[in-house]
Amino acid sequence: MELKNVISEELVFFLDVQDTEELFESIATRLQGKGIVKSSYLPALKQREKEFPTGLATELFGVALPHTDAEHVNEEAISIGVLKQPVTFRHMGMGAQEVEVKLVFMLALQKPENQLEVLQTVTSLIQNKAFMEAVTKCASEKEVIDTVLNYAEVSVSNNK
Amino acid sequence: MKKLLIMCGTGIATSTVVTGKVRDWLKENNLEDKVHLYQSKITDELNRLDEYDIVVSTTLVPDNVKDKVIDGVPLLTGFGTEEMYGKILEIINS
Repeated sequence: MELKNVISEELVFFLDVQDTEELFESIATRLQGKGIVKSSYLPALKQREKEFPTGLATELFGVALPHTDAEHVNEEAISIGVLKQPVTFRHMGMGAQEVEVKLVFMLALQKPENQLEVLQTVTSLIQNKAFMEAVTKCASEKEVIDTVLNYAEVSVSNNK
Repeated sequence: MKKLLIMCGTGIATSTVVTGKVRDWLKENNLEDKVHLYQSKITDELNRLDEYDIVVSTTLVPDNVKDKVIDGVPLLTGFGTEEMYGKILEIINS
């Protein structure tokens, strides 16, 4: 599976939210409305973020990859949240530090074996400073998708 | 053959990326024959970490197993990757 199969303009959100709670509710409710996730997705997402935070520091600003178990997902998708103001996440991994997040890839995933390419592309995107700069300057949902796909193509061919 | 476990909170997302990168790294360094990779979620593994020679985690682990676990987050952010592979290599060669 490729990234272009799981992202779409309808799943890009420009959000003005105060905290992770509001952010998760905002995106998950819309995903649920589209039938992509089950009603159990939101509570599971919140719980998982508490136990296993998903914030990541990059050179420019923080990114987060909130997600939860496959059983709460109907259809594989990645929604993209561009935040008007940064939201504080706890950092993934062994440390306990916090990170100010401006870009969110919310993952609704089922089978890990299908995900490798998509997730590697997302990972290389967030390590790409030019992409990170470009994506926060986008003014429309379409522009976000175009930017993601443009840079994804470059990063995929660089990996080969 | 060393047993290398890669785990994250769900066993489907970040551990997938890390497993892919570690697999490539093993290949590049001709270490494939020396290591068997396992991917899983942390809650399924915490009580049997001793079965593995190397444990890489992208998520927080309890204090009592911290010494055994290598932080896999560098493979997601790109910072500190060499140091992380250094730790893995040390155990493979031990």
